[in-house]
This record gives sequence, structure tokens and C-alpha cells, in this order.
Amino acid sequence: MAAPPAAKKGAGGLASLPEEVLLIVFSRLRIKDLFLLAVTSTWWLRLFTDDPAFLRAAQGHGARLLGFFFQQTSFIRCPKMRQDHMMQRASAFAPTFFPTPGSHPLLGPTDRALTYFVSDADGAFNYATPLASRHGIVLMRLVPRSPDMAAFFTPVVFGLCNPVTSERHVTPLLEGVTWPELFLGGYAIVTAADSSLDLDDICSSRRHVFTQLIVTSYDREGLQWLVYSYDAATRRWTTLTACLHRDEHEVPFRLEGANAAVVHRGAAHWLYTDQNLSTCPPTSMYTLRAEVGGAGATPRVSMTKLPLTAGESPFLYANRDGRLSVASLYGMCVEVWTQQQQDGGGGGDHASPWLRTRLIRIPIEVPSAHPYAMVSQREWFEFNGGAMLVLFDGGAVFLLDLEKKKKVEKLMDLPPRLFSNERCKMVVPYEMDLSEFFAFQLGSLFARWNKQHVDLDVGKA
Amino acid sequence: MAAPESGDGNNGAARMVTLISSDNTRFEVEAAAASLSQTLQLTILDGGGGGGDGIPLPNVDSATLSKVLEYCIKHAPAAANGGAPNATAVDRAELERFDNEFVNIDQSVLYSLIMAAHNLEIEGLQSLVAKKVADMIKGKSPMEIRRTLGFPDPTPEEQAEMNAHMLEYGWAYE
Repeated sequence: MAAPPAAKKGAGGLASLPEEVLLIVFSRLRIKDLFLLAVTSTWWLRLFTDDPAFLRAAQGHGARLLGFFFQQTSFIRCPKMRQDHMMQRASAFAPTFFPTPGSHPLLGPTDRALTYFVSDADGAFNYATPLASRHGIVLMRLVPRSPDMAAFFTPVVFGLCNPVTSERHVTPLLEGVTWPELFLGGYAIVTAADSSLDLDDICSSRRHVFTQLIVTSYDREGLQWLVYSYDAATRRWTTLTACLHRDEHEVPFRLEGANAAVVHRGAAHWLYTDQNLSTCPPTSMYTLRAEVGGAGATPRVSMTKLPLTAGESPFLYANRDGRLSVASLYGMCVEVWTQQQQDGGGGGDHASPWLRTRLIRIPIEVPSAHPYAMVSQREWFEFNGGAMLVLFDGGAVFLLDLEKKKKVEKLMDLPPRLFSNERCKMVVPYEMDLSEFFAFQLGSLFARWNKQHVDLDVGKA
Repeated sequence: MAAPESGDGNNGAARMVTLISSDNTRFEVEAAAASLSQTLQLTILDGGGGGGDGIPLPNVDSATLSKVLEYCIKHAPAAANGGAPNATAVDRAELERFDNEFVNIDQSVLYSLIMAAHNLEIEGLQSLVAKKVADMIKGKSPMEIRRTLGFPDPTPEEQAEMNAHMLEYGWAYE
């Protein structure tokens, strides 16, 4: 990593500072300022691209988890609040970002309004509820200003933004869906890299470019599920017909685990059970699979029953080898089942066998602090690619890496005020590999510069 | 953060310690001021640095050390006062004015200062200088950063590549 002193020539005296001191300075800069610094000279560019870990240095375990988004002020349909909201012409009551203690200095160290990172002059994000996040993109349900706001059922509009790049996107109305007549279920934030099978694309900055949003919604009884797809390029919604229909005598499907889909090999996957009380096994599990489509394409949707029964809190994720896995809890044990690879691959997802691949005992050190806490109240979240789970317990955040470390680590405590209000419990973990992102963005430039310098050297020789 | 200045109200009994810079210059300073450094604080609490012994600081030269001590002496009364609940707005403004002027110095001195503050663990000084250096970069174009920080100009080829890159990733540079 250390460049020879001669290479620092073009980098000024600042480059003489050791990395840990540079990080102290950088922690006071926005990521955009770092980008601009990086392109001042070869030395600086190399500092950021050679070793993506450099920017990760200030972060601890769970480097991908940068923090949490939540809404402190929920919008209530009372006349006063409606009137206020109609009058607001500036940003107010936007979601709040709460950084993890080890979060990147660029995002921390204290909680800030989302609008600190993403401009929102017209107040579109006022009262927005964060729903899901993926690869640095945050999805929110917005509270649209419309003359018929007095109506009980409100139209559905989504906002997406990336606090790191400051990009933002507001969808048009989702026609035909009013909330809470139809409840919103699962979400899939699809990026440019998802629909591509090109490895270069998958491992590139394209994974941070929002291209498509897939939303599932269900009626009050949970008997009918609908899937909608939104294409960012055409700014159009595609409404799919009812993809699932349960007869009235059947048990309604229930979305399990995170409402953010596992987007994996060209499709979004959600996990469902057909048992309302997951504590009464055996419960059948199903995956809802929606193909990720190109522009204007209608995603194919299918429901597959898994050859497994669910334990407590079943949870779907893609493991490090890129295979679908289901983790569920049995007492103090986490059982992981993984779908096996099929010869030929492609399309025949449903027929692949599932094997139990892991049995992890949750070590006693965590529960001993809170005897029944781990089992009583928790939410599990997936980190894309990392297969890391976050366990919630009245504000305490635990990390359990199902793939590597068989150890539960306590990461932080969320402030109790987040949990004091029943309505504010919607907390969305925010993950992104910033250093990787940064290096990708600058990498291509560095490659070109490097080539040029080699060419020059060859020319001289 | 600030507290009433005790510059003229020195009770005379304040304990003094001696610090020795890398070029062997001796600095005598109140223990309270030197204790702003987390690193020195432990040594001083252990009774070090008194009398003829002195604490050697092999990583800090005399020019930098005198600057560091200037900061410590100014900030020691406020630090000693803890949360400084009775600090007046005037005191705070005075300290702020001092800080602003203090970092209005040559870049090379800034870099030496932040290194010293980092090594000696003087939290306030470290963030003061870090803020100053960050401000020299913040909100500037690459060309302006180069000018401010004294980097040499790029070759025309480098400049062309950079322009192409910034066009490609326009969002990052808007």
C-alpha cells in the first residue's frame, strides 16, 4: 500500500501523513469531496483504488452495515397534520439515519436527517416511511400531497435514494393500489447488475444503479397477492394479475423474514409460510419468485413449495456461493438449509434438492444477559452477499454470520426512543460496501492512467 | 467549553513539568496544560516530568512543540473546568477566535501539528487541525484542491483522462 516516497511528489505535503491521520481528516469530508481529491493526482487515485480496505479501516465488524433508517414522526390522517403537510413547501420530518458506531466516518457519527445526504427541496420525503434498503439504495413509501388526502385510502408513491451518491428517484402513483386497502408486502430493489449475467457487470458500480422496483401487495384477508413492477428508465408501473389466490378455507400466506427480497440470479425471492402462528410446526414454506425484467418486460412470477418445514422466524438469504438458503430457529439453534446446485442450471429452480448445511448453536453469552430476549422479540435482516443476520432485541443489534463465524456479536444498541412509539418500529438497516463502491468508481480511471504511464515509460525506454 | 481565563490569576503553586523536543529544546509548562495530552497525562500523574528529568518527545520538534503548547496553555483553563457550565459567551468567542487564528498558518506546520496532536493524543487540537485541512479540500474542484494544497499541475494527458472520467461519473462531481 505504501507508495515509494518519489511517487508522493505529485501529491503534496498532505500525502506525507500516515493513513490513520488522513482518515481523521477524511472523516470530515463528504464522499464527493473525496472523489474530487482522488482525481487530483495518480498518488491519491492509487491510495483509494489500490486498497479498498483503506476506507474501511475506520470501520469495525459488519463493515457493510452503515446504520439504520427510521421515521420518527408517523403521518396521521388528522386534519391538522394533513393541512400542515399540504402547506409544507420545504423538507420536514424526513426519515432519520442512525449510524452504527463503526459506520463510515462519512456517514457518522451522529444521527442525521436523510435530507442531509439527499436534497429534497420540495419536501417529497416528508413523513416518508423507510421500507427496505439494498446496495446503498433506500426505498421509502412517500406521503403524496393530493387534494383527496382526506380519503381514508391513500395512493401509493415510492421514493428511492442513495445517501452516498445523493441520487434520488420518485415513482409515479401506483395505479389501482390504495393503502391500506391493499397492504404492501415485499419489495425488491433491483439494480443494473441484477439482470446481467456478465461477471464484469455484477462486480461493478452498476450494482449501485437503481433500475427496477418490484412490489407485492395483499388484500386484508391475505388471500390474494399481487405483484407490481416499476421500470426506472420508462417510469412506468406494470400491474400483474393476481399471482396467488388462496381459497377462503385455506390458511393465508404470510411473508416471512425481511420484506426486502433476496435478489439472486435474475430473480427476486421472498419466503412465505401458510401458517399464521409460526410456533405451531410443521409449517410449509414457499418461495415467491419474480423474474427481474428488462425495460418494459413483465416479470414472470411463480410460487414454489419448498421440501422443508419451517422453524421459528424462518429467513431467506443467498449464501456466499450464491445459493438460496433458509435459516430458522429451533430453540437456541439456527438451522440452515441450502438449495443445491443443479446441472445445467437456469430456470429449474424448483426441482433442486435442499440439504441441511449448517447447525449453529447460539452461544450462551448473548442470551445470558437477557434470558429470553433472543427468543422473544427479534427481527432478522439479510445482508446481500454477506449472509449476515442482524438480531434485534428491544434495540440491541446482534450480528450472526451464518457462513463464517459461528459467533453472535453484539454490535450496538439503538436508542430506546426508537422503540418507545409503537408506530416507529419500522427500522431499516442500511448496508453498502462503501470502499468497494469507491474503488469501482475510480478503478477504471486508475487503470487508464496506469496504462498511459506504462506506455510513456515504454516510449522512453 | 471555555472558562474564565486564569492567565493573570495564576496561583503560583501550579505544578510545572518539562518537555524535551526531538532537537533537545526544553519547555517548561504547567502540568495542567501538558495534561491535555492523553499520552502525557499518565506520565504526569505518575509524577514524571518534574524537576530536572523532563519528558523526552522524540517525535516532536521544537517549532511544533512550542505551537502545541501555545494551544494547550490557552485551552487548559477551559479543560480544567470540565463541562465549563459557567463559561460565558465572551470566553467561548475568545477561544474560538484564538482557534481560528491559531490554524491560520502554513500547511507544512498544519501537517506537523496534526501529527503531534495525534501522537500526543490531544483530541481538541487534532480535530481543530483536521477541520482546517478538511476545509481546504471541501467543496473544491480538483484544480482548486491542487492549487490550495500545492500539488503540481497534471500533464495534459492526465487532465484529459480526468475530464473523461468526471463526465462518465458526473453525479459524483456535480
